[in-house]
Amino acid sequence: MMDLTQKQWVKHSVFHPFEGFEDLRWKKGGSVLYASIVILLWFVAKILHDNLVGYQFAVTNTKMFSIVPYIVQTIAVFLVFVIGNWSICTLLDGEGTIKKIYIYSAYSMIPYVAGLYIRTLLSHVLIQDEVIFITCVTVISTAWSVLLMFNAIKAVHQYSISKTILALLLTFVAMLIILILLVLLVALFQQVYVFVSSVYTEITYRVRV
Amino acid sequence: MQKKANHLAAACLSVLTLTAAIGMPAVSAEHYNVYNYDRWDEATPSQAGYAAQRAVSGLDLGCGAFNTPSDLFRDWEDRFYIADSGNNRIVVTDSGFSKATRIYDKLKTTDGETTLKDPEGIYVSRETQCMYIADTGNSRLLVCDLDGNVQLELTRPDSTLYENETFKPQKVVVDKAGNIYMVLNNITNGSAMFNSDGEFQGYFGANSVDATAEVVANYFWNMIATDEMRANSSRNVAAGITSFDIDDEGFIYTVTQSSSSEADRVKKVNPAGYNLFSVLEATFGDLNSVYDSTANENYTTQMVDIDIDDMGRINCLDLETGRVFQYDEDGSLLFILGTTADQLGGFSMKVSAVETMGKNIYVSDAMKNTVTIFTETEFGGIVHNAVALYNAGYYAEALEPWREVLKRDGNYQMAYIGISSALYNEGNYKEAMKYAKLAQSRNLYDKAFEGYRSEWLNQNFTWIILVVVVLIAAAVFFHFRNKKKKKNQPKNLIEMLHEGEEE
Repeated sequence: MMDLTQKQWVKHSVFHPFEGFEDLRWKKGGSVLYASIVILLWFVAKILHDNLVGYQFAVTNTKMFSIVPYIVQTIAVFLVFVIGNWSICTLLDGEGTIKKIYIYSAYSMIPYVAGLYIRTLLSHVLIQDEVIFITCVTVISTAWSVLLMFNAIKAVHQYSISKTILALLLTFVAMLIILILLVLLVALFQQVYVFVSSVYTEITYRVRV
Repeated sequence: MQKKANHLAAACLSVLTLTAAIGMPAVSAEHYNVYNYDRWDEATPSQAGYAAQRAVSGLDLGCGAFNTPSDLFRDWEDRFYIADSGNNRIVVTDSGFSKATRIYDKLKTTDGETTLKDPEGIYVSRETQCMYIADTGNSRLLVCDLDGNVQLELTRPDSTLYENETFKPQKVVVDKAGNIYMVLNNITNGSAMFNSDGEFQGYFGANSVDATAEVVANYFWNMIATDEMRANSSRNVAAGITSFDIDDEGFIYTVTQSSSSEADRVKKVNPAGYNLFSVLEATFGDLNSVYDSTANENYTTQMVDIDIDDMGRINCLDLETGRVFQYDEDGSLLFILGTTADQLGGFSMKVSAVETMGKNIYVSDAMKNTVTIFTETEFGGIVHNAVALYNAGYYAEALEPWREVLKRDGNYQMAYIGISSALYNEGNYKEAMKYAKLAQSRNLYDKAFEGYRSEWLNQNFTWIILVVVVLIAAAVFFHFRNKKKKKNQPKNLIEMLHEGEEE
């Protein structure tokens, strides 16, 4: 039973929100490659959606394009989530490895990413009065992904429902802590860099004299 | 030989003049940097819509130097009235500001004469043929005919509605029915309204208090404070109106000089006291505060006077930067003129009033003691023509003027909107979409896109139906064929084995 290829596993876990990830775990399915492709597609979808959306639905008037915010909003946030979830759930008797968390959460992002592409396409054929269709796609794809994400975390760590909720809340806190530490680290390294560079400048002055 | 040399000289000369002509700057000859706001809401160098012509002092008019002129008014015969506060008089000049035609400093009353003291406001009504002088220093408002006979004297009303101790009229307007509105010093309830007989009617057009953090905090503390504490705390009071004007339809436009409140900076008040500009998304004045590096100060717009011209355009005067901001009737920015400088077209930090006549804008400066006259440039004329046509709904007629505007200033934001609307009305949806995008107007783009889409659907309807029918047919066909195949095919051996295991 359930001898699926990696491609079929992706389909199976997306279209079986409640049992899919349990099956995936039982049969040790899921591939890092496909997970990474999903995240990359998310990154591309985000850029496309923000810059190529039909003008009648555009939110911002982008004057300059910068890729950094897009990396932060997709890839970086996802990685921080994975690391945060792993560090919390290791303490909470979770069974998931970091690789599994990565694969399962990436798979559960699929409906949302697909929704982004559909929204971008729809925005080129709809007018503002028909925005309800786009809202519909947004709500359905997001709700689907949230449901998948919940069950993915539940399955990967073998948690009960209440423990999964707790784990997700704590993951959010952990993500905040990681981000604060990152900002602190960057600031510190900047100061170290300034210190080293000024010492270097001073020395070059002395040497010249 | 001589002839050849002549030819050479002529050639050299013509080349010289040519290069001189090319080398001449194409920008206007204004002494300051003229700017406008572009589609990113950033200040961008722009063509000048107005050029400063001359600055008129009292000496030029032959009536002695002005001293702190604080109000300007133009009547229906284009005579100008200048409230020359420091000299305690009202000076009347002709429309060309060539000489003073009349000076009111003593006014006749029934029992003799009375003098003005520090008059800060003047209004002349065509309907009542009367002059209304805000005689601030004497705490009264004088109504007199044009010969200088006082008809009515308004002093502090003896009404319970009027709570203030002082009565200092600063600006005055009169509507067509003869009702008198005045801005009073230290009154925050709005403008005081009197009927034509001089009876106090109440207040009109009060400003509202912005819900700033301080106001919210005060509200919170007041909930738990005792009466005694409340009596000692400061009250949240909206800023009082600084000046106002009335248009031909009887709407009163007010300006409020306040660095904290942006919402009530410029208001158009209907007879019910409701601010019609509150629904506009427009911000009046500079969008960002201006930083002056030499004085190390930030200047935020503080409107001191407003004038509605004959075309319904709104001209507001900013005290801090000495600029006049001109808007059309819908609050779209047209031009910004003036600056703080000693040169012509520049002002001290004490501009006091703005007035208009046809193509001219007049600004009085209470420190320089002059009235500066600006005249519309050629570019300004084209823009005004285009805006007037556009606002009247003649989109097609406005198309050419708007294109001309773009030729001269590619950053002129309204031109893109005008062209897009015109093209939309023409049915040229594709181009309308392009210009709507350039104008960053989502709603225009949406309308144009809707037209474009239905046009496209109409043209390609047959093809779309054909494709849909073929697709459905193909789907049905393959569906049935697959079913047939499955029925006929023998079951997979492995599948059968699995089934056997489960049983």
